Order: sequence, then structure tokens, then C-alpha cells
Amino acid sequence: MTPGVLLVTSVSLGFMVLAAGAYALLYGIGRFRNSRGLLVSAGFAYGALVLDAAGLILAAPLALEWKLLIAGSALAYLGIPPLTWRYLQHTHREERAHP
Amino acid sequence: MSRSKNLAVKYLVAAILFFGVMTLSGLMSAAYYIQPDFLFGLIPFSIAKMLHIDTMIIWLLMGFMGAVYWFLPDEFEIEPAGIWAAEILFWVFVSAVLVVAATFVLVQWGAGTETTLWLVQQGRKYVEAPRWAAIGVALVMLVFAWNVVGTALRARRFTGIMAVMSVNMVPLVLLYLIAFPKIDNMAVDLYWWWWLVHLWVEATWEILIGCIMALAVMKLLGTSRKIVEGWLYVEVSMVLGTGILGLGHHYFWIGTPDYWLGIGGFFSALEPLPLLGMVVHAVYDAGVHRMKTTNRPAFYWTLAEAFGNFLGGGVFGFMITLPQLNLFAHGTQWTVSHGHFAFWGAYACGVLSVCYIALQEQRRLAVVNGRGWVWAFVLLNGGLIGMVGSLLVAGMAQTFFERAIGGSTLEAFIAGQENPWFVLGMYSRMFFGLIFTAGYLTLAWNLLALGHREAAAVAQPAPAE
Repeated sequence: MTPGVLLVTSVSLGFMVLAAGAYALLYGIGRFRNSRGLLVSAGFAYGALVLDAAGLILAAPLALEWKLLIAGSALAYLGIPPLTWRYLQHTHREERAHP
Repeated sequence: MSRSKNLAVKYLVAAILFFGVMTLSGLMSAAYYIQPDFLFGLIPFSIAKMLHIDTMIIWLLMGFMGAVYWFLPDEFEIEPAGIWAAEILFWVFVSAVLVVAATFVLVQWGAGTETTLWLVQQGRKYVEAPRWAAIGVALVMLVFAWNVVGTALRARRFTGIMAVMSVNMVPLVLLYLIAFPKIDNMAVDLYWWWWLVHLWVEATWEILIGCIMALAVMKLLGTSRKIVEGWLYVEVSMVLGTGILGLGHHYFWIGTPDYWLGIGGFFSALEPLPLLGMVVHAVYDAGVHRMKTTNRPAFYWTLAEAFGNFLGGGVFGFMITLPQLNLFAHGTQWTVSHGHFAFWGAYACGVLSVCYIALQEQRRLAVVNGRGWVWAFVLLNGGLIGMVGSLLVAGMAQTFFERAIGGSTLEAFIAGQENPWFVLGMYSRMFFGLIFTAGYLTLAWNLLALGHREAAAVAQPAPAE
């Protein structure tokens, strides 16, 4: 790993989580406002995450197990916002039905 | 107000005062990087740094205790068991911290003897306090645990939140005992020391602040207990599931077997996952309540907690957590940058939120708003983000020039310290540190004046009971 690649890899990993945060934030606000535009933006944020993860998997000098971990994380990031949202909706609905 | 709430106010006031000492000693520590002979012959860098780190632990711990003592009577509708002991120990705790701080500044160090360990300092980062004071802290923690568990037993009522908090008291007290043994083998010593530092911070403290924020959200937004407790269980399982073995990222380079590289890297990489869930939860709560609340500062500090935790712990942590990268980045300003952001987001913002919740009830304010808290919020968060950004640049320069190119030799270290990017980072950190300090002063003034001198902040007084 060259010094330059070291920095690029680190920044890419940080960007991956940052993009996941942007996706979660836009997804949440988009669902709340029922805004198609925001949900599409959330999709773009997740797209950026996937591109970043793909770059890391294809080009970063990391061992295979770490690349698998990055791929797995990218998939988990996709599922967390909708799952959390559904869970929160479910608990709030339950609360309204059986206060 | 109940005795418990009075004690809570004392703890929160002490926390804010020690927050000030932390800020001042942080500024001093920053100054040495610009002017290495700053306070030459009076206070060395190591002492200023010790004060900075130790008061950070103390103010957050006092903030947590203040928060718990504030919510306990609401939760159980009785005074906490052994409140008299907690009231006495508050003064013992504060006096001990002041004596230890004075010892650090005036005595500084001693010979490598038992006497130094007992009376001056133990020399282990984060828990430098001499043994007599460490015994005092252990006693305070023990009484704190008794207050929580004993009250639940006396009230014969265990809510979900209080059950989680009560169970958490066991590791909170037991892990602190690691502050005591004197172990000559440095690898073994660090192995156990990280149990204290990491498992306090990334397990027991996370759970404690989770419980506190659950109680705060119920109070602040009127969210039902069922919803809050359901989410708390999910959060606690995820945080413990990733955080306990995430301890391994501290074992990479201290002489432990190399399987820790895999364990630490894997579980640390999972640590951002629960934080992402918290971001979604924060958006949901803000949306449900349409950003409307009678206590805007508390609400905004709660949101800052969720986002700060995600950015500081998640984004900044993930950059340096894989072993191949951590090999070069650990121990540089990059790590410092992550540490500052993560502590601020995960804990400090939560404690500040509780300060405003307590203040609203104590001063009987129907609405808490105004300009003062906005300035404090912007200056503190702006200053913090500026500082961690500056430290990130300096840390990247160190990693690149000193570690990756220079090979971590002494010459490379000196070259790294003189590198223009590193120097720029240090000046920039000082500048944003001053902004943060201005934020602290504004916060202290706002907490003091809100409802008294800052009358415009209060829309209407609460009806008298």
C-alpha cells in the first residue's frame, strides 16, 4: 500500500459511512414529507455509497475478508433505514391502537 | 423540588464548571503545539493534557449522575434509597476532584514508589487520579448504583429503562476497579486498562446515556414508554453486539495475539450500523413532533447527540478502524480528531440536553427558547467541527509524511511536526478552540441567565402549582 493509496482508502471508507448517513437522512425526511424527490435523492446517496464500496472492493489493496466486510456493510446500510422506519411506524401504530 | 432533584442540579452545575476546566486545559494543550515553551517550567504539556482528559471524564460522569438523580423521582415517585449518602458523597467527590487537580498542577509527579501511586498519580491515562481519590470514585459509583437499584427495589417497580440501567450499574462499578492494580508488564497492563477505557466508554456509558436519553425523550416529547423502551432494547443489543468485541481495535499494536486484528477490525466495522439507526430515529421523532417542543435547546441538543455520535463515532471511526490503515493512523492527531468528535456527539450533547430539561422544570418555564442557546449551540458545534476538521488534516499529514513515507523514525516524527499541513492544522485547531471556548462561555451565561436575566427567552411563565 503506497502512502497515497493509504489516504485515499481511509477517506473512501469515511465517505462510505457518510453516504450511508445522507441516505438515511434523506430517506427519513422523504418518507415523512412523502416527497418523491427526496426519496430519489436518498437513492442517489445510496448509489454514491455503492460506487464508493465498489471502488474499494476493486481497487483498494485490502485482503479479501475486508472486501467482503465492505460489501456486507454496504448491503446492511441499504436495509437499516427502511427496517428502522417500519419498526418505528409499527410501534407508534401499536401505541395508538393500545395506548 | 425533591432532594434527588436538588442533588441533580448540584451535579449538573458541577459538570458545567468542570466542562469549563476541560475547555481551558484543552486550550492550554493546543497552545503547546504552537508555542512549545508555553508555560515552560510551570506546567508541562503532559499535565495540561491530563487535566483536559480527566476533567472530560469527570464532567461527563457528573452530568450522567445529575441526569439520573433528576429522573429517578419521576420514575419511581419516591426519593432515591440512600439519598443522604449521595448528598454527602457529592461534596466528597467535588472536593476530591479539586484536590487531585491541584496535586496535578502543583506536585505533578513523584518517584516510582507506592507513595506516588497513593498520593500523587497512578500514571495511567484517563485514570491518573491517585489511589486515595480512585477509591473515592469507586465509593461514589457504588453509592450511585445503590441509589438506582435500591430505589427500584424499595418502590417494587422495575420499568424497562430502570432494569437496563440497574443491570448496567454492575459493569459500571466493576470495570472501574481495573484502575487499581499495578501491573509491571506493559502489554498485560494495557490489555486490562482498555477494558476500563473502552468498555466504560463504548459499552456501559453508551447504555447509561441510552437510558438517560430514553427518559429525556419521554419528558421532552411525551413519547410513550412502550415505544422508547422497545427502541432502547434494540439499541442496547446492537451497541453491545458490536461494541464489546470492538474493543479489539485497541489490541492491534499492544503485543496481543494477532487474531485480535480480525476480531477488532470486524466488530469495529459494524459499530456504525446502530448509529445509522439512531439517525433514522432522530428524523422520525423530529418529524412526528414537527420540530415543535416547549424546550428547543434540549430538543436540538438531543438531535445533535444522534448526528454527532454518527459522524464522530461512525464516519471518523470507520476511516481508521481497519488494521491495515490503523497501523499508520493510530496515535496521530487523526485518532485525536475521532476521539473529540465521538465523545462530543455521544455524550456531551446528551448531558447538555438534560441540563436544559432540568432547568425548565427547576425555573418553572413554560417555554425555553431565545437567542442565547442558539449562539451557544452554533459556537460550540461550529468550534468542535472546526477543531476536529483541523485535527483531521494534521493527522493525515502525520500519517502520510511521518508514518507512511518516513517509517516512524525520530527524524520522520520531527519532519511530520514541522510539516506545513500539520502546523496549519495546529493553528486552525487553536482558532476553532477559541470559538468553542466562546461557545462554552455563552452556554454558561445562558444556563445561568435563562428565565432570570434573559427574560425574552421565556414566552410565558408556567402557572403556579
